[in-house]
Amino acid sequence: MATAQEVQGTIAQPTTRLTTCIGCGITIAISGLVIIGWCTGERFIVSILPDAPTMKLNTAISFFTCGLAMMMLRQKANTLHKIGYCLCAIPLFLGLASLVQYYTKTNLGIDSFLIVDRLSDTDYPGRMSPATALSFMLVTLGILGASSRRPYLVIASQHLAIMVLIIAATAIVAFLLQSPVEQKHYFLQTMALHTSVLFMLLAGSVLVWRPTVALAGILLGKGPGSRMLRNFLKLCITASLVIGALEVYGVQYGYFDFQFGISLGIIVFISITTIYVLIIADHNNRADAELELKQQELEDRNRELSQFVYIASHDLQEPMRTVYNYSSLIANERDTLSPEEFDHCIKGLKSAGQRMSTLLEGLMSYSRIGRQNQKETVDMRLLIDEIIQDLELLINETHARIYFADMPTVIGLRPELRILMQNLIANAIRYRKPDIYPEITIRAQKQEAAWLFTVQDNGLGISPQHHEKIFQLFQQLDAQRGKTGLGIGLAFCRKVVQLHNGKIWVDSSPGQGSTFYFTLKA
Amino acid sequence: MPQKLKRILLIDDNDDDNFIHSRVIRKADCAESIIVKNNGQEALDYLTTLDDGEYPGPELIFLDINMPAMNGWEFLDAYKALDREQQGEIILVMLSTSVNPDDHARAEQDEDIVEFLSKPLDAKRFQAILERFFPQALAD
Repeated sequence: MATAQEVQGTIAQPTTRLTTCIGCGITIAISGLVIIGWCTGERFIVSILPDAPTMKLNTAISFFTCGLAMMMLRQKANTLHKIGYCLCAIPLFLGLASLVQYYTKTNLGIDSFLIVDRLSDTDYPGRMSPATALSFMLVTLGILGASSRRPYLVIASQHLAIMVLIIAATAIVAFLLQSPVEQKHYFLQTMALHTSVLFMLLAGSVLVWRPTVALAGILLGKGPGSRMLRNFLKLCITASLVIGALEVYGVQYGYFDFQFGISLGIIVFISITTIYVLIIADHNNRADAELELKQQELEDRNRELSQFVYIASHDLQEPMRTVYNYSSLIANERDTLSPEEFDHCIKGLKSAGQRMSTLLEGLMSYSRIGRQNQKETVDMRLLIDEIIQDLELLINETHARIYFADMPTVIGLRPELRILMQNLIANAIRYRKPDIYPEITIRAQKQEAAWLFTVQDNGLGISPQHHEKIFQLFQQLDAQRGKTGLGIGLAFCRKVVQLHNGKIWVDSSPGQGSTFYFTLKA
Repeated sequence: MPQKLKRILLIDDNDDDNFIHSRVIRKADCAESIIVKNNGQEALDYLTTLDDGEYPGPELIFLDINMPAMNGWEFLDAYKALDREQQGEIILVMLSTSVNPDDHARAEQDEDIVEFLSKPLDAKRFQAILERFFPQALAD
């Protein structure tokens, strides 16, 4: 039953199906009870409250048949559908006949057709109110429309259901605000409370019958608009009921007169809804900005990924080419190769193979970063202590000194943060000046919403034109062709920091030592 | 009697390529010496250093594009700024693994570059360069 108006991602179908079933069940049960009340002449059942309007027998019969028809039409079997359609004829007929009686001022005799109404205190005993009669016609047409396969009929049925909801709600509100029966509008006169409640149930069931289509789709959807609509409806209904009740109470007890009560009520209602819309608007603006940020992040990640693929394939090509060149040379020039040249070829082949496997290993561990994203509280001081223990050999050999104090705890990926710190410290030692002992100072400084970490060394330094390049994958390998390190260290660092929504950069010049900066969310 | 070239200069950071390329040149037996420099700066130093009161002035240079420190294009810029006598009558051939069309287009625009070849240099293509620019170096 896919239609053009179908809305994606709505509340699960079983929930709405259950709602409809319960709606029908309650309708059938209450109207059945009222029919029994009429048969036994029990006024308590037919009107609930002593002086309130009664639910007429015709009304009860109509509800009963509506509920049954809806249950039948929800089933798959064709015969049940036919029974359902036939049942719909009863409320349609009773509603139409009652209306005709009102407007032509005739008596067709249907009011007392089965039982003579001696319990109701109205001009036309046994006759449902015009509002009830109209509502039955609307809701029955709604049931027929919702059961159809034609999208426009389903949409029409939802509109009919909303009309019925409005009529029933008017009656309920009139009851809740205790407006005396005689002051009610003629149209709604004698619509009983349980009649209005059952109309709400029936109309509600019709509305959610096809929960993904049109109005129901918007009302029940999971989207932010649907959520806003539901909240707004809740607020509007509660606010207007509370305001109305206070108005009635205020007028009744003489705190203010009727006119003032109305204007006060309107002002309060406008204020409440305006404030609500303001809050929603602000929230939406924020959500929009957040989305934009997310999108930017995604674009960055995408760019990084395509660069990653480019660099990886480019760097893998070099050893591949070398293998190809040497093996072609051996194949084509076997007779003219001197033993020394042959040795050179073999050595070249071997080292190209080694480079390739080192590259692949690096690529693999690089892509593994952040795979397990269980963030936890990490005490940076303990982390650095551990790293210093791990690097003990290197530190002792080089007489390196590492200073740090007042390290904070951060929320992050522990193994990744360890890679980050270890790379920065190891680099600071590795690229030391030959004539002085390396000294490394690690600091942390609280910024607005982040910690700014600095790792400062007294090493060789880096010339400004390489400040961006060093964070790219394999750049170092390119420059020194595998003599030291993998060239993957700072690319690792950058990826780790980016995973934590931070930034990493360096401030350095040749001979002046380097200071690496990175931020982590506090 | 073929007249051999005095010097051929290879500027490339890749030692494996240098091995293959110098072997191809040596086998052609057309040059008295083959000089290898690992980057643009080393090559510039070599070109601007007097040797026995004379600049080396190799007749033919093979230049790689992707090199650390000073890449092929940076070398070219510095080369153009040299004195005429330091430049000498040099034929420049660009060698690259680059598939970047920008590099290719740029090489074609540059009047100092006579050829843009993809690596590796082989005997056939080296022969073609000799035929075109140094026919006197070839054996009859």
